Order: sequence, then structure tokens, then C-alpha cells
Amino acid sequence: SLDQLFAQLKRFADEGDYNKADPVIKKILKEAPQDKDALLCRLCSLIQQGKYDNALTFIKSKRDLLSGVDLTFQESYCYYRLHKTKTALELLQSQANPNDKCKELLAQVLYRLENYKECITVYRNLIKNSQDDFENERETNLAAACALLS
Amino acid sequence: KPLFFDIANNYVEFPSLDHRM
Ligand SMILES: [K+]
Repeated sequence: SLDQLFAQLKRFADEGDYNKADPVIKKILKEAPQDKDALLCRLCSLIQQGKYDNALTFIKSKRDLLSGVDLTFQESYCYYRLHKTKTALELLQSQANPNDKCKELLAQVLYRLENYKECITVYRNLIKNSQDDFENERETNLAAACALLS
Repeated sequence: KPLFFDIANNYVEFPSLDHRM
């Protein structure tokens, strides 16, 4: 049943096992093609598998079903990985109040576009306001931007 | 080329499925 499939999916999701999760997601979507949770899992799975073009097509085709869900981060991240960096930048900058995920990606986009000054500003803001598992990585990225600016 | 991490990748996450349990 759908409940059993979701329980199975949650187990794989908690383990971060995207390879095992994917067939379960497909089974759920076969039974419930409009299920928002399953659609969001599928999108995540596509991105984790590196299928960025497929993920962008998926976002476009499911936009109506997922109306009310902000997919700016996922969409921008796909463009970033496809090296369509300016498109990613435009999407991220179109937001009035970007969340932390989007700010994190914005910093990476600015770094790749060699806009180190703005990149540093975003990282300093993120470092001041965050407390998570990526503090060291963020300091490393900030140091990289500082090194390239000077 | 300095070391630089893709931190954003960690935010490509499944939605919480708690409400489905
Ligand atoms: K901090």
C-alpha cells in the first residue's frame, strides 16, 4: 500500500540511500502521480543522481502540481551544476527574501563568477548567522574568496 | 586553485515525510 511504500521510502531517505529510494519513489508515483511529497522526493533524487537536465524538465512539467512550493533553490542548483551560472544568479537574485539555502548557493555562484567581494559579504553574513555542520567548509570557502580577491 | 566546497549540495534534501507515518 501507499503507507507501506512511504514507510520504506522514509527509511531509505533517513539513511541517505538515494539508490534504494528511487525505485520506491517511482512505485509511489505510479499509484499517486500527483503526490506532492513523492514529486519532491523524485526531484531530489534526480538532482542527487546528477540528472540536472532531467530535473529542470521535471520542475517545468510539475510546476502546476507543485504550486505553492518554492523550487528556486532546486532550480538554481541545477543551473549551477550545469555551469549556466548566470541563469542561476538571476534566479537567486529574483527573490525578495532568499532563505539560507539560497544564500549558500548564491555565495558559490558569486565565487564562480569571480565576484569575490560580494561572495565574501554573503559568507560573512552566513557565518555570523549560522550554526550547523558546515562551519569549517564555510570558513574554507571564505578564505578561498579572500585569497583570490587580494 | 584554493580549496572550495559545494556546501549547497547538502541542502538537496528529501522533504520531511514524518506526516506520512
Ligand atoms: K556561526
